[in-house]
Amino acid sequence: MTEGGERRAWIVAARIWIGIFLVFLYLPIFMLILFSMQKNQFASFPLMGFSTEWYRKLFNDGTLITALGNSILVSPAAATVATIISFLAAYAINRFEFRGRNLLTGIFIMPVLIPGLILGVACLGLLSRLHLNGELYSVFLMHVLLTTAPALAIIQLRLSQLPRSHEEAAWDLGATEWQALRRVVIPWALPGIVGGWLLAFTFSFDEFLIAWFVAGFDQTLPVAIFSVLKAVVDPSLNAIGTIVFLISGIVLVGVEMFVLPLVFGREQGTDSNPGV
Amino acid sequence: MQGGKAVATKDLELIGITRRFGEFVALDGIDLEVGQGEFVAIMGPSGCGKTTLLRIMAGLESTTSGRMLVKGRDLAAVPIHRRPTRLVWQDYALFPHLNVFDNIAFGPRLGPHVPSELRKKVLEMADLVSLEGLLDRRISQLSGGQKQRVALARAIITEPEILLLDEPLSALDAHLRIRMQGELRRLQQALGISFIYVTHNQNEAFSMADRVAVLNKGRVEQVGTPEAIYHHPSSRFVAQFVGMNNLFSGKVATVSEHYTEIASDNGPIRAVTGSKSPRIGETVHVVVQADKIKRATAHTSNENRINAILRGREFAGSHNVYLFDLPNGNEIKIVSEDEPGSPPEKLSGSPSDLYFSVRDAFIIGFQ
Repeated sequence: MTEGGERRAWIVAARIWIGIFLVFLYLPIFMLILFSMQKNQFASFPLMGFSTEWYRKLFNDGTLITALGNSILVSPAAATVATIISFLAAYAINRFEFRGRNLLTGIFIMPVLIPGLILGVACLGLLSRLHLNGELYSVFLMHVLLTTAPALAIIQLRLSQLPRSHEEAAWDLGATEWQALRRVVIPWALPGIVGGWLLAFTFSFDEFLIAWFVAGFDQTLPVAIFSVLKAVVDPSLNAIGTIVFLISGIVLVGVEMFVLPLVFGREQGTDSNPGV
Repeated sequence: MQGGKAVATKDLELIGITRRFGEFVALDGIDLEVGQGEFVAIMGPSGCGKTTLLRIMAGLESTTSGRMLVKGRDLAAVPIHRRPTRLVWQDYALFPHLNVFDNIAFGPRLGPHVPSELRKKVLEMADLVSLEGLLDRRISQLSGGQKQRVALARAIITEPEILLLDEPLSALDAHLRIRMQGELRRLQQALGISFIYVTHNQNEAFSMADRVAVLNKGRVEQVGTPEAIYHHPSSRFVAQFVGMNNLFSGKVATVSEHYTEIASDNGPIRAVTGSKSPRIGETVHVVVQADKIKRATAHTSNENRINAILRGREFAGSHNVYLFDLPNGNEIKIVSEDEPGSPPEKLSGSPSDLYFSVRDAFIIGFQ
């Protein structure tokens, strides 16, 4: 075989490999969407025709939709609070030398390292003693605790790349601490803040164990899905899955298309190189 | 000095500035005065404390003790963002999320301003530092020299009383560095404010500054015009730091009206007797510039003669630098334009007599 031919063969092989990878990744989701819109009670072939029956059932029943509503309330709120706490902590850790700095970082990261089951039992124990359990805000409180860790990791990474001279230059030019923070530090940290928020949101939106322990009757979506799944095989689950997939897709595409260009101007990413 | 009026003629006064980091003394009682609209270079090897001193002047670093006055006003209680000084960083510290225009406008926008007037002022500044047509560029699209100009414009637009520059040309290539030296000097004269310029580069300091302060181990070794520092270094350190000087050490043997004789390892050396003379028996250094030592044999009673062995020659374009070993093992350099052609291998190892005039030998290092 010639050298060029060999090269072409490799490229074809690589493309096939990527194709297989994508099929394995997205086929289940595609199936989910497909089965949510057909008549068969069981997710199996042959398909028995198009139907919106499961969506109707989903909305008539209301349990899962209420749970979705709870999740849509709790997750962004928890992610936002966690992101604010993370930014403040990351800023302090980067800017100041103080005793227990590493300890503080460790304490913030700890919740993701503890198995969810143990954390869930512990949270329930604490909250019930404080008479804060069994409500939606119980989940919110515990999700703030949990999602601060991943948000902090990302924001801290970004802030650690900020050259010290940038903030100093702002002060030197007449900026107060607050002005320097708003005009120099936060614009620099924004990609980290956006990324941290998204990760925190995803962690919270998916989270089952802690929510299951502390939620009581105000179930979030993963808890509600599990309850339904325990009882019957219900194609409504395919319908709610499709809706969640759409929401996630819209959030991601929205961030990509609207938030990031707003932050970076036209040339997205050219200015994310520190010190160049 | 007559009270307040005399004080106000100084742009900057540093009085006994001391900075300790634990046991380490970074700055040890720095005294320095900068006159109105003066260009002062602070020069020294890395680790001498020059950057710490500059950061103290900017308010970014605190002092252990000492006072700093700008136009007679004590800055001790003035926070960084209200100081009349601006710093230009070695890495420029431009804001990457803003374009050139917004970087320059950063300072004025922090306070009350009229947008249309600000726009005019930014355009004027861009004109002053030759940045016309680049105002929409992002920082990542600029060359080193252009970044340098943005950093200058961003500082100058805020109308500081003193501009502090931390090795601002060190990131540029040699050609651009020389051009920027001229531009900086012109800019300083056009603005009429004081520039304090920190560098380890003797050429930069000498070509731009009205006066040069040489720092070593947190102390000011010498302050003076470039000519004074070059021709009359006041200490052994300055003499060695300002390249192309040769040093001879020895004890003072005799002192007369015209010359002082020093007994060195390499034989007696006569040097000019200055206004202040050392005591007999005191250990001193004699400085002789490399271009004042001759290999010619024109021997008069007014010349010192030393024996040396030629070790090699460095060709430096317009002149040659010859290296000699002295009898006591030390090395001396001489610069000369003569004797082109002869290959160094033939010369090296040959004993030579070197001469220098008593008038070109200066004594330093005595109490």
